[in-house]
Amino acid sequence: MSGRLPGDLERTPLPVVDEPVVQVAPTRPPLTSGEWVRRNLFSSGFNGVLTVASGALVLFFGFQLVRFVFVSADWSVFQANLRVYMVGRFPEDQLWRVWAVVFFLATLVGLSHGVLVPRHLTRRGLVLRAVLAVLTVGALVYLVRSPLVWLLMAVTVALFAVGVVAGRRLGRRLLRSLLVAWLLAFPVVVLLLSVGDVSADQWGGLMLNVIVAVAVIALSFPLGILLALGRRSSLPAVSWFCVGFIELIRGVPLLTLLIFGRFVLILLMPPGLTFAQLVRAIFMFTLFSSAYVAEIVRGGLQGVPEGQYEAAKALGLSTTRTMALVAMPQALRSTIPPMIGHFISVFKDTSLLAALSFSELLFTARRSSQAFEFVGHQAEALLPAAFLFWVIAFSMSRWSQRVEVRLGVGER
Amino acid sequence: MATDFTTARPPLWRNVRFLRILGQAVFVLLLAIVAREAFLNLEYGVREQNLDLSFDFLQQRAGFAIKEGIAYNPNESFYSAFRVGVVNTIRVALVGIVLATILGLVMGVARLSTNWLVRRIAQVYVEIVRNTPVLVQIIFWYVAVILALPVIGGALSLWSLVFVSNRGTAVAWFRLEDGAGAWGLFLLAALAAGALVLRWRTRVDERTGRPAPRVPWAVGAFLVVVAVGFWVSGTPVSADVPEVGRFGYEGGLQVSPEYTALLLGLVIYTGSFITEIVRGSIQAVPKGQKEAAEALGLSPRQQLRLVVLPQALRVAIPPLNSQYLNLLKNSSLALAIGYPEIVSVSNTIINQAARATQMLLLVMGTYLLMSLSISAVMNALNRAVTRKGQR
Amino acid sequence: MSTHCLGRVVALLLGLALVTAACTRGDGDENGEQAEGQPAQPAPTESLLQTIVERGTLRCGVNNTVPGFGFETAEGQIEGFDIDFCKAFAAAVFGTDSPEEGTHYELIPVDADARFNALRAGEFDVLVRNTTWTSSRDGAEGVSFAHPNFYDGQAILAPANDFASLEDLDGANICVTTGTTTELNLADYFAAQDLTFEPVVLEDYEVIFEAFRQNRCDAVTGDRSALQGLLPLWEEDVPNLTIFEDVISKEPLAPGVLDGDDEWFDVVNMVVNGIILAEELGVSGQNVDQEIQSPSDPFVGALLGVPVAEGEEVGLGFDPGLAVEPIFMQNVLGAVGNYADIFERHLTPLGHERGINALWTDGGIQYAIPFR
Repeated sequence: MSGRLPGDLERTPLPVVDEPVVQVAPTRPPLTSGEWVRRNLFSSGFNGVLTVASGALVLFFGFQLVRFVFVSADWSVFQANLRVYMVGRFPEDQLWRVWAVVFFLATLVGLSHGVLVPRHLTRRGLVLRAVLAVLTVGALVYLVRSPLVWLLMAVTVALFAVGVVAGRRLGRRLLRSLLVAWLLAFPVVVLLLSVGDVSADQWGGLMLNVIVAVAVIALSFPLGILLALGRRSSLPAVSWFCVGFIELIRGVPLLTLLIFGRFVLILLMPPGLTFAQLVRAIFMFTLFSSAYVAEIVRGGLQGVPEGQYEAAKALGLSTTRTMALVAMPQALRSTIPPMIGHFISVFKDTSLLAALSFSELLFTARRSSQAFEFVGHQAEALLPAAFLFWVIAFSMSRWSQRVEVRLGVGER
Repeated sequence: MATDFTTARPPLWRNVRFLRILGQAVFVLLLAIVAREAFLNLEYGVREQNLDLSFDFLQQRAGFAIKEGIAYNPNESFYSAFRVGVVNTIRVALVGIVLATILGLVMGVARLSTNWLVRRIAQVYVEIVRNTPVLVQIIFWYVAVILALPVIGGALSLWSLVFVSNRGTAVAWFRLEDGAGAWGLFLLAALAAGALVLRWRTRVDERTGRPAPRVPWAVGAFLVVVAVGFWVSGTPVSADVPEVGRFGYEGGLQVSPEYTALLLGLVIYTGSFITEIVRGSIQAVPKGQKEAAEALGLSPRQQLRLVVLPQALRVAIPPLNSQYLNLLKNSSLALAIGYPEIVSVSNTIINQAARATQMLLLVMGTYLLMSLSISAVMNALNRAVTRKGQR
Repeated sequence: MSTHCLGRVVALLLGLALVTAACTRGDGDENGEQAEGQPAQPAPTESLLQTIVERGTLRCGVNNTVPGFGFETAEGQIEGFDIDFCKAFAAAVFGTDSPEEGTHYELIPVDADARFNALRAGEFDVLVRNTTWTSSRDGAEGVSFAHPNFYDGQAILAPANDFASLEDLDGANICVTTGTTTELNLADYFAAQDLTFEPVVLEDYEVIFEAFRQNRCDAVTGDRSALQGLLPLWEEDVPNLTIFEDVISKEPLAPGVLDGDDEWFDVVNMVVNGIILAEELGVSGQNVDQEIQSPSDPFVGALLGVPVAEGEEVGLGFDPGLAVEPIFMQNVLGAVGNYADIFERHLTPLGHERGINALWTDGGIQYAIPFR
């Protein structure tokens, strides 16, 4: 298919749209359950065998998993360390800052969800949501003991719901202010969490992963665009440098770049000038991410038809204007799926900071199972961390699919 | 007469050609300044620590043991130790690439199966594995699965040929004895025989139009020559069956638990991405191809094998290349579980010899070289495949 | 002039400005270059001690996995023998007899394999992390070691039921910590005894314990002091452990600083000496205040920097000329006490005997440099 970027093959399944509640009359009668089973599971002898075999496997492993989760596992390592998993060694009396950030973000996310994501209430959707809600509440009941935390979580959910409703009501008029709010959100959050009696050294847990991911994404996006433009430049010196830089960064593992940042980077700076470890790690991570962003943007720019450039020239637009007003918007639009995929990878790669002993989520999960009272429960310590990573990455990928539909990507 | 536009040149400050050259000169100058600053600072910093920027330290005695890999002892040089790390990386990367591709192919086809259950299983696998960080998966496999295997005394065994425990896996392997050289020659002859038979059967197929099974005949010829050679050179291969000793395995092909955990993590993780690539590339094959194949009377399996997959794999090669590179780069995470590959060994060398700058340059250079090699192979494959299929 | 041209002109001017700036910088560099590869910037004249004083906090690289020496409690506090020495350094530098964590000193846990790189990178000022003083660390690693604060040896820990002596471990899997002297020493010791072993190299004692309790390795090797501290905790999971008597190697543990800063090194060294000397002279944390008021003898007076009255004259207090106040030992002893105090606070409860760490007058080898 023309126009499909190779990156699409890796990340985007075709967008799935649930059928709306009001249906057009179907062209043939729906299958009865017996017919459905026969058609989908036992259509041939081979298929039948396959169904039985995989069904048995699923039941076996599913049973083992359920038994592990609910019966034989001892989740006390997670329960006791819940706060450390979430925010690391952040001082307890300063946790109000974290809650303030959570409330702010809940409202913002709710508003964005209301404005951007279309309503999709199908019966299947409702059932799914109900089941998820029940499971979450059940898990939280088991894990969270303090009534204060319950209250704060309830407030968060309420703020999100209010945000969604308000967003749906106010519609697309809110887009510009939302954009400004999101742009301001990151510096505001960072300030709130580092000014006063706390410092960035005390960040930890999932909070650290999220902050690093957002910082890297925010910083590498413009840098990547610059690199992509540089790569396409007609000045050979500039384009060779950009190509060399991009290929160098893409050819080495992120871990080596982070180790470089830890031990060699300060040697390259004037003596006496040092940056905090976290800043150095974010710097190297940003370089890494910007090389990939550059490649994605380059692919997008290649997809802009030549005619657009010619038309811009005919209109008398300068190179800068052409790029900024004509080429980039089109390029960026078509790169949204692989770009979001890359951002999800950035979030997942923040787990590498554990290899450098930053106390982010994976590191705290490992250390918490090494305390003498919890030794031997490595699985129970790691699974919640894995689950937290998974939930966020999966939600982001689902959300991106729906945003794609809403923004009409790929439709022209 | 109006100004002669053909010979008039714009003034220097508006002359695009001059400005381009000037711009590049300025850019290069800026880069040179920054690079020089950095290098001078580096020299200074390194000398402050009584170190140097040369690679001579690589000849010094290493003094540390490496628990698996090619033959090495602590009295060899740092360079030897580094080589062990490189070989270990290649070991896990090559095997990982092969296994991940197989897994990805199987699951990719499963993803598009007509069987609802199989489809859903593949989908769940992809959605779960793709969205979890690879480091989390590798560590999970190591601490929660491999270490939880039975101890060496109670190792699980499969027909006494394969043993699995938390000290690693041992598989029955073969041992070469005298006459192996002669048998090697027979193997080459067998390969040639197989190729000849393949060509002969292809020609028969084209001439007579009757389906002539090529591959089974070629494989048969190969095996026959191999068996004859085996018998003639005096059975130069004996079985190397592992045994469970007190502290570990004796004999057989042994693989450490760290290697197993790393391999499992990498293969399963990369396999999920390859699954999506295979699925996307199969879906990219025009529907008409499949319909035409069906119209020709091919069975679904034949359709897949003869029509869809060859075309699909053509499209899949560039994204597969990037996934293979990702697998290679993700092998560096072995640092977290103690498998002595490049980054892990280099970390130890840095701690013993303190030359972080040189070691990191060496490590990055090695990865770049390996990445380029993999990309070169894949690009050659790409060229070979697209040449055939161009319309 | 249209904006089209303005952009280019601005870019041109910027470029010219940068080139000019670079050229003037380059002149300075040229002069520097001729002096045999001198750095671009002048070398910082500030010593680390001045930096620490200006910063207001002393950063110590410590261990948080070894009970008794540096161990993290359930509340997240790190305590131990080495930590007390860190407090002592802070007390000396900042002139306080009650140094507070967070204000006067910071404890930075660091892995064995990253500790020297971290020290070189300036992540902390002094390494008090049960680190062995060896020639290669002095030389190639560029670390200067102060007076050893604990003389230790390497030992092997194994389940008593399975192994009666070291010879039984021939061919066994033995867990070692990465980046330590233990790896190399064990290889040499076993080779000398014609024994072999398979090393299982892991990051720290916590990961080692995970592997050991699941029998990934048969025995564990490390500093005897560390193993002795861990044994009671490990025995709750793996019963009947024993530490073999064999001394695999000498392990003198000493605080370390980076080469090239004599001022800071002298302070660290003399604080350690002072703590040992205090025990020799009978000054402890309990009686230091009385001794400050009226020193029992001139040696005590010299240690504490207290002027000793000679007849009618009151002379000046002894000042060794270190870069800290002459009364620094008063603060140190007030903060942590003498060597015996520190030992009894952290190591005696875990069953450690003074052994060779007793004073030289008591049959051990702790011998302080005189304050004169």
